[in-house]
Amino acid sequence: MDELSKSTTIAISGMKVQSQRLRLISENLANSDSLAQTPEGLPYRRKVMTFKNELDRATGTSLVKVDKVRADSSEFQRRYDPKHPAADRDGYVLAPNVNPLIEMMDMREAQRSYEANMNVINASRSLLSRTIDMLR
Amino acid sequence: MYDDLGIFKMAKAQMDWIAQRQEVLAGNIANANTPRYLPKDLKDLDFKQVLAGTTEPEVGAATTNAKHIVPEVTPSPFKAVTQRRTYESTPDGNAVILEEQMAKLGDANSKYNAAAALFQKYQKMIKTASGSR
Repeated sequence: MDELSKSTTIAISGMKVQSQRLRLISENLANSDSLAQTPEGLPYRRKVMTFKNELDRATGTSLVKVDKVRADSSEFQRRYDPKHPAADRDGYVLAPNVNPLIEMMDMREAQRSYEANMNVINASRSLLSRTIDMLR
Repeated sequence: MYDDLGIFKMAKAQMDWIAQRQEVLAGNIANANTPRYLPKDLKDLDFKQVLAGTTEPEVGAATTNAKHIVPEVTPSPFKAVTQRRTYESTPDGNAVILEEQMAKLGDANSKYNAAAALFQKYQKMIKTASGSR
């Protein structure tokens, strides 16, 4: 496998992890109002993922993979809603620890990384086609 | 046949180097969000070494017995170095700056084009010299 196809493979692995990250962000955002059913129950907990490098033996390149999807252990928010079935004695309901602003920023970052990887693919492709042009 | 001619050899070395560098840069960009990842880059191509033809230090295992296995993958003649001194890094220890990597990518692209154009120019020259069109 030549270097230019290798760099395309690496960039594709980068795009894959970023789209998985985007999926997780959308999950967090979609569940930002998933409250508990009972006063003892817990609402949706935000998920975060980390990436790692992994050697792909078939091509001899190190690709990016999703390391782990973990739960964000930060504190839940509290909303005052006495009529909610999950409200405690003081009328507060635990709400997910999802901050839309943070999710949006994460989303922008994922998008930017994705685009950068796409640029790498384009660049590799143009180098490859330049090489082929030499035959003419 | 072309490999014996100095200019072709130089252009080829340059293109090889850029292709290899492209791979390293792709790795950096793919790892733009990996914690504690430091960007890498290839060591600059040494023109003198290319001219002297000493860029490829082929150090392989000696096979003194028929049962010895020679590794199929030959080590790359170019060396990737990790950038220890980086411009800035995020709180998770990642020091990849996308803009910087993109600039390097563009730089590699134009250098590659230059080397390829050089290659073609000389090819044409040989054609002209040999009388064919």
